[in-house]
Amino acid sequence: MSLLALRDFSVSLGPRVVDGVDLDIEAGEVFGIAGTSGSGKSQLLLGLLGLSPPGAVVTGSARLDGRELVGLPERELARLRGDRIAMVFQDPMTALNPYLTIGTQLTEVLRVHRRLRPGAARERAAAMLDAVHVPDPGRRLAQYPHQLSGGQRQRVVIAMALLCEPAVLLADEPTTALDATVQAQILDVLVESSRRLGTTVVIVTHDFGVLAAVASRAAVMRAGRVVEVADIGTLFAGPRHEATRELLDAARELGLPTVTA
Amino acid sequence: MSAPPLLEARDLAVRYPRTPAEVPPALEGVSFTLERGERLAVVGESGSGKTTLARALLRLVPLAAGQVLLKGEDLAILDPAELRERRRAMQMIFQDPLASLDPRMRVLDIVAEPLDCGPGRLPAGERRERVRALVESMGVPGNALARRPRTFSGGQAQRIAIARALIAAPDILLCDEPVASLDLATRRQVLALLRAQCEERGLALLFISHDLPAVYQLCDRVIVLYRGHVVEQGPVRQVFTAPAHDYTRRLLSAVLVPDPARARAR
Repeated sequence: MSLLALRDFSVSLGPRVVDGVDLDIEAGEVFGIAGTSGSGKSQLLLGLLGLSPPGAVVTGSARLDGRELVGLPERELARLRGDRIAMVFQDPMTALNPYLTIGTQLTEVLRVHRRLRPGAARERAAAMLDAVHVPDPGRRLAQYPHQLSGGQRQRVVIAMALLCEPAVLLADEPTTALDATVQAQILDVLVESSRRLGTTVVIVTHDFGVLAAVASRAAVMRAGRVVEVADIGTLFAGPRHEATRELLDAARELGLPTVTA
Repeated sequence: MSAPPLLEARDLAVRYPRTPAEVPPALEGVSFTLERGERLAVVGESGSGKTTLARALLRLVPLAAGQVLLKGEDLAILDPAELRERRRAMQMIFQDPLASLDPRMRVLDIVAEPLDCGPGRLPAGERRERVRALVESMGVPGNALARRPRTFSGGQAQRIAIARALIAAPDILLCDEPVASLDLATRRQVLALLRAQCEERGLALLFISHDLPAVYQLCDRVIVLYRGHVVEQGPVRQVFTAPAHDYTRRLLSAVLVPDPARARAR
């Protein structure tokens, strides 16, 4: 049985923005979901988390470890989010609360889901910051989000997502808002830390460069539907659907020559 | 005597007020020239001074040292009215078009604003016609004029921001990460649009970006900024294939390659 199994999974916001998706994501893999703006990839993630916009209708089936997520009451979903299913969004500045210290935000996760005492929670939070290579974690806990660079902030968000050692981490364009020079480092941290904890990663992106760097398999979406699923080698070497070819061309055309000297 | 360069920066330094003395200046000893029709990139990581440089060129931040010469004229000796008039020759395009376009204004008024602020006043019909023609040539449908920015995609909104910059008939487009918030397919289209407009109108471009592939596609020359200093400058192809400075090499190696085998060999 796969870790995350979607059957005829759909999200309707009036129009169907996710339309009859079937997917099987296996434990331990880094699975990519690629598509252009408006292809439905973000709505798919939000639908899984029960975070679709008000009025959305989510239908079909999404099973995590055999447990049905569609139709689960909000109370149950809230218990799962941040614990079994974690998320990392595009913009770390809006994902963090500007009024609370990094420490308060990290330990909140552990107090809510693990009922840890403050001392133990701080210790665990500092250890997790260290694991995602945030220097001087003790001092960082006392700081506010604006005191950190964009790259450091996204490391904090990743640390927060991994605190409860979730079964699956859903990441929506986690490096798109970041400087290209730190993008590769953040992807490495995301994937390595997840692998160490046995967390499965689902990463949503429009950038085939991101898939090439980290994904083992990927699905390509267009107009709410999954049009192609393949392992990364196959997807790059022999894309079958036009949508895949277009994304690949876009990435290749924006390529660089090789450094020779 | 030959004509002065279109834009010249001489030994620019910027130090932000109220920073402790031990903090190095945001920009120091930066010199370069930009000629008519040339496309020059400024690259570097976050905090390297790219945006400060753009602001210094426009005199939006005071200089601690150095000069900015536009067509040979030192901007520092101008009074505010003259400065505003001369600065029309340099038009800005920012990263996030939905933040740089006033959400309450209609596209017609957004794009016409530089005309409205300029010398003389156009009859309403002619004003509208000029905006419509320009917006359409950017690939935005002409019926867009009555709409407001939020009803457009990021790519369309950036085309509107480009139209607003072009209507002032500038000599220089100053772009600060103009495609960073767009997806790759849209990015490619907007880069192609910028290139076509620069070539057609003989515009010079100063393109500030951490996106090296975009720089490679669009620009002739590149300046590499590191901690407020220029560490390398030269033709894009030369700098990108044979970087002279370790920092440039590091920037290049951080670029994600759309090839799984090469990406994983990194």
